[in-house]
Amino acid sequence: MHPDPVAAFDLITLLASAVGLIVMLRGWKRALEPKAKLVFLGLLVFTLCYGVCLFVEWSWDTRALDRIEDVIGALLPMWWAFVIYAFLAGIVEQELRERETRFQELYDEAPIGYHELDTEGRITRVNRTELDMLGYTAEEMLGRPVWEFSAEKEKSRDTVTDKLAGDIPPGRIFERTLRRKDGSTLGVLVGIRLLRDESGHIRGIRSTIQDITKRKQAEESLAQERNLLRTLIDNMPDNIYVKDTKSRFIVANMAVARLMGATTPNELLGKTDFEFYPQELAAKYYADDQNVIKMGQLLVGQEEPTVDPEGNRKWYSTTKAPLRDSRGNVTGIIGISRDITARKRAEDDREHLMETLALKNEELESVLYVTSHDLRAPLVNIQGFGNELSRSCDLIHSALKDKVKSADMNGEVRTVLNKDVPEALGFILSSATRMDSLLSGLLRLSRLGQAAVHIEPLDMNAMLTDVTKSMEYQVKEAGVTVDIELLPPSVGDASQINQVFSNILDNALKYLDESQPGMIRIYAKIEDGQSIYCVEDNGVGIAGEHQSKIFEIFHRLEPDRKSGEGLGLTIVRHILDRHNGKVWVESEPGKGSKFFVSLPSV
Amino acid sequence: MIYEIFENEVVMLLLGVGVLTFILGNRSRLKQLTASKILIVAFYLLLAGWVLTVLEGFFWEGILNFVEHLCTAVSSVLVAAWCWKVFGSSPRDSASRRPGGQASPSGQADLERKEAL
Repeated sequence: MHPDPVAAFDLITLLASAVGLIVMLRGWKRALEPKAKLVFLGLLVFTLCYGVCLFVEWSWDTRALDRIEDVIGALLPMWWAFVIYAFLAGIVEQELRERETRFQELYDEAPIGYHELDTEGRITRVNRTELDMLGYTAEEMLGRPVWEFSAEKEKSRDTVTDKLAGDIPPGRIFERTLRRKDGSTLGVLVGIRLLRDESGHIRGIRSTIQDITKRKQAEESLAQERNLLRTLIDNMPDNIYVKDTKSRFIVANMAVARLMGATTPNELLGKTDFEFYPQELAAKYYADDQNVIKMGQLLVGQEEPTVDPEGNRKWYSTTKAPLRDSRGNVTGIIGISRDITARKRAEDDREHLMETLALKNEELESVLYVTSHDLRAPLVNIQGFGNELSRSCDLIHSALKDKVKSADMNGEVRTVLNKDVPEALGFILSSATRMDSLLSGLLRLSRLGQAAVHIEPLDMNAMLTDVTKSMEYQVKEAGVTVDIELLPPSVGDASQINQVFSNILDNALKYLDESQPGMIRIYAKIEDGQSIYCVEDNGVGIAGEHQSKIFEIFHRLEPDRKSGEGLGLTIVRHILDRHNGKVWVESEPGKGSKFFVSLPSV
Repeated sequence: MIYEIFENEVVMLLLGVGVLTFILGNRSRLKQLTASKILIVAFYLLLAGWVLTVLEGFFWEGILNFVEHLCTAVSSVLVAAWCWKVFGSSPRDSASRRPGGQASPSGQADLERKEAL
């Protein structure tokens, strides 16, 4: 043996092969398939032997192992080929296994059920989804005829037989009912496909099973909803219809059919208004429809005339909405129209009545004015001549007093001259004065009705201050405290609103409670666009039964004790009516009153 | 100059080239083997040794012979290393030797598949 680097390499070859062999044998179970392992083991053994031969040859410089070395040298590449082949076979086998696993997973986890039948209709393969659908295990299903799992056994058997006989064209889908293990049924869609072998002979059937329970439920629900909607549409007294973009009816209810002179709603379908209404009306409806379709906006409560089949003119309030598809495109319109002919007539009647009423009111005011104005002239005569007569009576009385002895005067004449005539004259004059006062009031009221109203913004603080100042004397006389808080502005005729508050304050001063110091407070608030002013006093108050009457003409609370015409609050109400305002009172006897005046806010 | 050609060496070389063709043809599949690069490089070195064995008959006999034995030795060491990689360590050890010390999920799956081979 002599030291040689080549020999050293051979020794390394030898030792490395030995190490590889030992490692492989130690970890034999860890990796590789048995065949590949054996082949690789052979490779290591060959390499080891080859290394031994080389080492011996170079170390001892002998050709003794030449023959063996040649054989091993020739076998070594071949053995490498075996190794590579064995490894590749393992890899391919692994790939196939993976593919099979993947296919089985897909087969089992498919969202629809699968099964395969042999030529006798027996189940040869079934996936997990179908087993889950029916509640069976694979063992319970495999080998059994497929119709045993159907709720319609005869039908199912015939289908399988026909398919196997080639009587059913490909791609046909059947709706069937299967029976689960627990006895419940399951609606499914069954798709059938023939399986053929390499030579084209039928070897069975592959079926797909799709659970349609939810779809069925959805269909039933949809049908119910449709039925509900149809019933609702058909029985509504209003006209309900749907038109397409060319204004052709695609849905209509009975009310529409009746209005348009059709026997059933179906007679309207596909037709337009032009086939039922006069040209002018149909053109108007068409224009409205097209406007809604074009603008995509709602048309609400449009009042439009129409003509029924008998030729009667009618009025309808129509609402049209654009009908959109799932993408938001307008595909037509939905229309609802309500017969408002009766309402329209009532409105016409009311308008007519209002006109008549206004006319009558004018006439009445005119009569009132004339009456109150013209009656005053003879009343003045009565008053004048009554006074004259009274003076004449006084003269007669004084003349007779000097010239005729009392004893000569007839007792009856004396009574007439001294008592009856002055008394009668007193009654005549006081009645005439009272009548004059009433006629003045009526005249003022009638003038108020004819006076023009100049609406303008009002500074209520300034106005109430003015009103209070103008009544300063009465306020001082009565010893009343007037407190005016900050008041919001409003709109109205300045002089007339001034009159309103003057009258209310006058009333408050007139009906003070003498047992306590008078106090008047004026304040306000804004509510719903109205300025509401309150004049509150601590006067005698108004009994409940009088509260609704105090605004009536000539109504007075204490006619014997208090002066006045009973017109103040009537005028207040009259003015506020003309200003779209209101007046009302809250009061309790002995606790004072609150007069509320509502006027439009600025 | 004397050219010395041994038949067995030529046969060995031809068979080796055949195996090389086979390996190159199935390169992508062989990549699925654990540490396939080590094994394939080992074969390439062995093949290089066989080439050098033939060539040393024509020129530089001493040097080429030296390199031939070196190739064979390194090839054997690589085969031993492959054995260590496949049989000498558990899959977890193999994973922990990856860069970063942890196998990626897909890498782990590949590794398990390779281990199964």
